[in-house]
Amino acid sequence: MSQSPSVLAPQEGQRQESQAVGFADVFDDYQRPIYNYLLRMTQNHAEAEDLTQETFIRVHRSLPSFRGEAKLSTWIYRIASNVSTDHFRRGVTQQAKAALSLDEMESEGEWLGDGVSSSPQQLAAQSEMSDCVQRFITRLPTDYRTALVLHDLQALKNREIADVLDISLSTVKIRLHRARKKLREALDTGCDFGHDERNVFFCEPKAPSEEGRP
Amino acid sequence: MNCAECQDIIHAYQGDELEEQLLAETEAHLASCPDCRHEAADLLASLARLRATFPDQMPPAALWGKIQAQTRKQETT
Repeated sequence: MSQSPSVLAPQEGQRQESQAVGFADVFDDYQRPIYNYLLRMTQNHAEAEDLTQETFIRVHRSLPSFRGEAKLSTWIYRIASNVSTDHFRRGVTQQAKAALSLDEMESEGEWLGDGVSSSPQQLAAQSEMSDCVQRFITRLPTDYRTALVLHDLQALKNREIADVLDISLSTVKIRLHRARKKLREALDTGCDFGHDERNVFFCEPKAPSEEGRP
Repeated sequence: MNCAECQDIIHAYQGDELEEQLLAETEAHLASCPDCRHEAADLLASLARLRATFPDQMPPAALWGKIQAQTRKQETT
């Protein structure tokens, strides 16, 4: 089995969807985008691996009945999204426990709070990522996180997200708009940005303001 | 197009999802409106930060073997 060279899902038409597709080929083409989608949702390598495994087991089970009514990529992302939703509904993650409703976030105004405890795996993963953005994503309600990750990180179009999540196009736009607005607010008010000596992007909480101190 | 309309669709503009006519109207508005240009630049910067935080990663090499083992088990039961 070869590794897929592509970062994103293969272009439509690259694989003839009307013809029977082998499971190994499907895995080859989609393992990377699906793993990254689930990693960005969970921010935990072990959980992402487990959910990717569950996704492809469901794909394997249902592939013989796939008739091409939806694009193959949409169908697989839908399965992965269902797996992810089930996972968060079970409440087995720290992220799920930490996620606030949008109303709670708006009233609390604490986008960058420290309310998330982490497993060793999470801590290892977090060390590779920018804490501010990661913490913001962690605390974003799952529906908004899903829209943001699918659009801005997985590069799906709004229409595809609507099909994947079985929601209206306007709902996708609303979720995306609100999630991005909150991301910008969080970044503008709570983070300092820059590049380190190796020109690697970094983001860290702003130091408390000196204003108003005695 | 006014500023409210522009900012309403600026996300779609950044996502390259606008139809031709709306794209032309948006670009015309952006060319004449510093506030909306600033808004668009801010959005682009925050997206760049988001993407820099979550670089694409390779799945674990053992994943295929685990899936094969699971699917074989299902087929024999």
